[in-house]
Amino acid sequence: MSNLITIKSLNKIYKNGAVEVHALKNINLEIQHGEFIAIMGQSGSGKSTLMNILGCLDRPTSGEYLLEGTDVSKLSQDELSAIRNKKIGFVFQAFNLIPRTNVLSNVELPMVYAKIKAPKRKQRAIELLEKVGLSDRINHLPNELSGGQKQRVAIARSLANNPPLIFADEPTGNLDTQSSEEIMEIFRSLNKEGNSIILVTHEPELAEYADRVIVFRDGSIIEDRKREVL
Amino acid sequence: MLGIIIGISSVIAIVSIGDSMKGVMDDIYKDIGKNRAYFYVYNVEEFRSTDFFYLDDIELLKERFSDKITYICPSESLRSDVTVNKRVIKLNMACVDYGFDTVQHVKMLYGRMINKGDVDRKSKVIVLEQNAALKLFNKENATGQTIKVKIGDYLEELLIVGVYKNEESPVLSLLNGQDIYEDSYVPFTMAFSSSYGFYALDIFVADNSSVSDVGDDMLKYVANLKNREVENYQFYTVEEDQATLNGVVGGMSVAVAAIAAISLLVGGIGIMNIMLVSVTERTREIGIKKALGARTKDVLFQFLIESATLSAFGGMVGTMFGIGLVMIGGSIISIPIVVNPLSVVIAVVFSMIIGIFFGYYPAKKAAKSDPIDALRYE
Repeated sequence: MSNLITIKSLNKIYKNGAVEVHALKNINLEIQHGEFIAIMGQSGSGKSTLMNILGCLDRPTSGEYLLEGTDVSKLSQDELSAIRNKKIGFVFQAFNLIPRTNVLSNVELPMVYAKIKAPKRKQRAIELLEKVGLSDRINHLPNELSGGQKQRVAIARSLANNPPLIFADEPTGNLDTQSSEEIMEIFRSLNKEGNSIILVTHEPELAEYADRVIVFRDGSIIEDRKREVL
Repeated sequence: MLGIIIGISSVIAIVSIGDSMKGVMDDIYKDIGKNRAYFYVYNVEEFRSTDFFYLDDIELLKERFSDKITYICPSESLRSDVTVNKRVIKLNMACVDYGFDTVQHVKMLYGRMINKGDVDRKSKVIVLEQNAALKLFNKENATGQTIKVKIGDYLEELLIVGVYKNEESPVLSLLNGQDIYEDSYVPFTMAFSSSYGFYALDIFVADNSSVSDVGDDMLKYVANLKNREVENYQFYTVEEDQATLNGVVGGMSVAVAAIAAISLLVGGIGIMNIMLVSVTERTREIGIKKALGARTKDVLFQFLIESATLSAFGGMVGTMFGIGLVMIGGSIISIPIVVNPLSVVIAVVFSMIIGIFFGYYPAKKAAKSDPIDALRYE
């Protein structure tokens, strides 16, 4: 089976008027199925840019990006939408739930775009909400939930189409210590079930949960080490 | 939204007014008689005395077209002041043949209508309208009384043999205005001598004959009889008249509809504005949806449906407002209101189309937005 992610000499250059910013410099990276990776680095190091490209939200300036063997660097916006829908689950720092829409509908949303029939959609959403311990909150609106609960809804949503890859961009950045630990435990158990997780963070404590840590500085990988599995 | 409401309500009002007017017109022409025609001398440079219609001509026509026309009589009326016990009224006397009440409904209250005996014997009789009887005799039943009227140069004493009630529609009375003349019927043979040349004839065509065919035949026959061209006579029907009036009403509707269209345009731009604000407010939401896999067309449809719903709602409110307006107007001038369900459906559908048309640009803008920019938007 092919790698989950293969990146070869990937570059990203932003042009802002006459100024060129070389955000990613010649990155090479391979990620296998089932890995729990922490991408670390200070702001401006290029980790968010890589995250956007890996998440198929942005396209590289040059280089190759294979996601499960498919070259996604040349795809159109709508093709990228389909890839994001089926292969990638997102968990954001700011939760990014749809306001004025209840928890259940939020979790169902990726399945709506995947054209899954309503009864099946609802059943799956309820299962996922049970998994994150929110089955009693399905009719609540996002603004009626605590930060930790919101993030658990976002995790349930990211799992909706059972994607091979889950991105978490500073998932605990807006949470207190206790909620952070709960969320990270969920990620850990998801990883044990076989989900591949890429966690973007600048907190070393969170990187403790991952089994591989990649550190960025000035657009380049300066460290890529596997941690001992405890 | 307000523009859509105003636009749609005025369209509904205009269409309903148009339809109601047509309904009223139909009623009026039903009053006059759809198969009624006026046959008259027309477009003649130098009149000859023989150009006019004489009683002999009428007898000839009656015989020749006996199976195609049900009634023919000179179209004449006389006017005279009538005084009874110092009460004075102005009286209009319509000249009729017997059988007028078989082709045109006449609601008799007392006595009888002009009959064959009256016409044959040139009887000095009259049938008064209810109001004339009331004003002259202070009671409706004036049969058996006599009145003096001026016919030509003579003052004639006429016996009232019947009283009828005028049943013309309120709108026709409205159009006729404040008529100072009271109505009545007299036998035409009593009022005019056989040497009198009539200018016009009042004709009712049989139900089983085509009015225009009978008209053509009659024009040819009379032109031949009078040694004139067909163009020198005119066979005028109320159907033509109705078509002209309907045309006028239609033209008016088009003019006002054009104004309504402008307000719909303004309303549409308003909808576009609302949608643009909504798209900007929800930039982040659009970004999230795109990140979760929404394609361009998913976002496009979402906003198109929203703007279509918004303006269709405006359309429905406008429809109700418009119907209300027409009903109030209709009850003020007391005419029956016709609201065509089809025009309601068209109005709502049309407002939805406006929503889609003017919602397209904002929806496209939303759909095209870059998910990263949209996610970063605060």
